[in-house]
Amino acid sequence: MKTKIKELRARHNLTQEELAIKVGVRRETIVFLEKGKYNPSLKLAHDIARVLGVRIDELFIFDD
Amino acid sequence: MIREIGKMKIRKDKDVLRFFGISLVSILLGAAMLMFKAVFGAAAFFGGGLVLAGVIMFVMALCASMKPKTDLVVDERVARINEKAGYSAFWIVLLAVTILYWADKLWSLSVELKDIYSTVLFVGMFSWIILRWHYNKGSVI
Repeated sequence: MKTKIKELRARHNLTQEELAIKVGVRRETIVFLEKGKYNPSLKLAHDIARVLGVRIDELFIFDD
Repeated sequence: MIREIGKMKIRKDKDVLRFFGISLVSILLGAAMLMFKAVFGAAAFFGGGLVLAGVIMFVMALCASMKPKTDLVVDERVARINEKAGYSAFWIVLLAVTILYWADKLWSLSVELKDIYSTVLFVGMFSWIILRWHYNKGSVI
């Protein structure tokens, strides 16, 4: 799974820590999400998508 | 409230101070109990345990105070790692007990329950700690 979190985060001028505080997780979790090493819950995916102003399917890309 | 000591930033909010307070109380209580060891033998055991627990808590409070509060949140990833490590540690403990049982049967080791207790406790505890570190480091969760 790949994510566009890093790219969209930069577009909104948010640091990893700021995004982590907005969605209520650790900065470490955002790091692992951006690396594609963590599969978030639906709620967390929804919260991140809401903060970054995109849909969930625009944020996460699955290799089919 | 953050205070800088050298280049280290140490948080001084009420949670950290409460933890420091509890650790100091534990150390003082343990030290007081150790003074009565001649009168009450078990006081040495409990007193030593309280002092050790207090020192460990003090070190943990110090480490926690040097991290930003956001790094101490127990989020879904941390919860998932704890559950996964706990599940694996459970099977490791079962395996350890099984090995001890069959080793005792095959080689007549005369293993008693009190011998198994500390072994299993340490195997379980350290399995969980090591597995948490392993899952946190690199594997996809």
